[in-house]
Amino acid sequence: MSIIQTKTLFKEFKMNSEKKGLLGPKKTSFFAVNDLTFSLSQGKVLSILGPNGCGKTTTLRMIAGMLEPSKGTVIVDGIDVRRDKHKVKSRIGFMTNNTSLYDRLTVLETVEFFAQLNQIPADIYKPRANQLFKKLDMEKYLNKRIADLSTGMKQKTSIVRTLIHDPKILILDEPTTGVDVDGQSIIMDLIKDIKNSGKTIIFSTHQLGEVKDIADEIIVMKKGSIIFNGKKHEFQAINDDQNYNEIFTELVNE
Amino acid sequence: MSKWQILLIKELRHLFRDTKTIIQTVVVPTFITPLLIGGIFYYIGSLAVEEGKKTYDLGFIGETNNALFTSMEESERFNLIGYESVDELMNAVSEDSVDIGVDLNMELTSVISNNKTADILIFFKDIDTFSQAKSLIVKKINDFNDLKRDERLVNFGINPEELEPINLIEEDLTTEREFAGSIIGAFVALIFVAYLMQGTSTPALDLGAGEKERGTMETLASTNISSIDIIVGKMLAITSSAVITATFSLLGFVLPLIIIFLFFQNSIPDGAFTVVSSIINPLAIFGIFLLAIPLSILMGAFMLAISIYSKSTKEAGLLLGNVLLIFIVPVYVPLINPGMELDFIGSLIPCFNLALHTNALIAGNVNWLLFGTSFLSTVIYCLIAVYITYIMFDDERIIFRS
Repeated sequence: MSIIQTKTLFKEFKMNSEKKGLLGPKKTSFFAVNDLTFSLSQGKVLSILGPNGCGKTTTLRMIAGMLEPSKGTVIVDGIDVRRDKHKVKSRIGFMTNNTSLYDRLTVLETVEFFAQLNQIPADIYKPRANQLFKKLDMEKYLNKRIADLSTGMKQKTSIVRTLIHDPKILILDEPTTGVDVDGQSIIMDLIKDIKNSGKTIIFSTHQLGEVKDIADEIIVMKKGSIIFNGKKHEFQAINDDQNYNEIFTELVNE
Repeated sequence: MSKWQILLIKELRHLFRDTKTIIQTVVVPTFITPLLIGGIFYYIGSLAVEEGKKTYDLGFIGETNNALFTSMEESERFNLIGYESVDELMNAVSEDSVDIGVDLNMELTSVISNNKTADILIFFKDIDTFSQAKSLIVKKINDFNDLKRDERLVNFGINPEELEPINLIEEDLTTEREFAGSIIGAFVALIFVAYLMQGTSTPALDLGAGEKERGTMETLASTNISSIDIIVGKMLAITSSAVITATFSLLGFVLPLIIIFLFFQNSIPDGAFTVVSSIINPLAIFGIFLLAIPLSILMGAFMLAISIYSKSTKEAGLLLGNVLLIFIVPVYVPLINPGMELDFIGSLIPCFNLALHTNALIAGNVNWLLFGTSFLSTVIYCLIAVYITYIMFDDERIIFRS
């Protein structure tokens, strides 16, 4: 059964054109996402790949209810995102492509803030947070301010705050960007754990090794449109003699 | 706890853990500003005192054997320097070699003796507002003029006193409180509005454009908090910062006065005593705060809307810098026009009404109907501003504008 479904999804943005009008540059529009249709079953991991500016983040934001589609529909766990984006948001844990945390709060305060925003009672979120802190080896850093943490530790805090309300769906926008090799492997191990717990995960990435490791399904985007949508073995089947990087490069350069 | 309360606590915690916020909201208004204001007043006061004792260089040409010249010569406030020509004298004034120049007329005595009018020219630069040189010389000339006129009248057989049909007696009934209100009120309002702006602009910058720049706005937008909860939480955090700043600014203004009141009571004149007690009047302080709270929400909403629209704190800072004039200019008008009275239209203009109500609150002659009009109109503007900010927060094009 599909937990996420998008149907003929479009997103149009206005931007400044090179032509100048009386009050500054004239506006022009372009489609960041162009006729996107796909579905994802519960418990599966989908990886969205594509060069910078291909519409990955816009797609993830539309699924998470942060951007409204210009056309088309997004159904998440049976709910139309246009109709009730707040209900959809409560079922999603969204992690942005930078750590995006409040520098002057401690790790504990950060996690507590997001738990309270999601109306999770203390007797539920505290043991859940402790479990995650232990798993991510963060216990020594709980009372440290975010500003004093390393990028890897910030990313771990981001993951804990994303998971604190125990969302059904996890959306990760380039989760390993800017993280060192150790940090990357810790994050990927955690994603594998989350996958094993039956949650649905969508993540965008430039690291094809991560895709090979944990994705069940792959979407490759180019200029807002899907140029590949299939299972992992179907991606490899494009060319058995090539590795993921080579297949990806060939796809986007076609 | 509702979501706006959770957000408010987080915003306050985040804001007040920043040393910059503490310096701007507490340290500067409480300690630095009174020192600055005190220093400026002391400097201006000492300049005025010095001017009262100063001997001015007075350049002159013309006749010297007359009573006018003798009175100038006898004055301890003038150091007389003679010149050969009018051009030389004018050059000396232009080049600041002398403080003032007088062309006493070569035929002063003979013109006056013939019952004609003699010209006396004064050359001066009207730049130094503290200088008493001109007023001192004009007084000497007027005294000489009065003396000569009376002599002429006596020569004509007229008693000069009989020539005055009216003896104008002026009695100023302005109370010391009213005087305090007109002089200090607009100044207190200016400080107050300046600190309200400072107290709102810094957090507005941080909670709008700052959050966009750091990416935390996106994180917040990904949670299931509504735009209205975000607006209320952020607005209250900004208003709290503004009110705290304004409170400390008032404290910074009032505390030195209380210290003077308690420890230097014997050395301050009675008039100053009334001025001080008019400012430390609980009704005045309450009234100022009553108007300041909706005003700070109005400023906060206005600044948050601009901040959230901006792509970066740099852009927001530039835009806010221009917008601050909208709030500060109306406070200056009563400051440069002491004695200005508030009417219905004026009571609808934010900041301008605060300045004039502050005057009236200190003077003790508030028009409560106009006060109510100002309060209600500011609340209405404030609701409109909050609604506009809400619309902006609900617009993904603005939240994700980059």
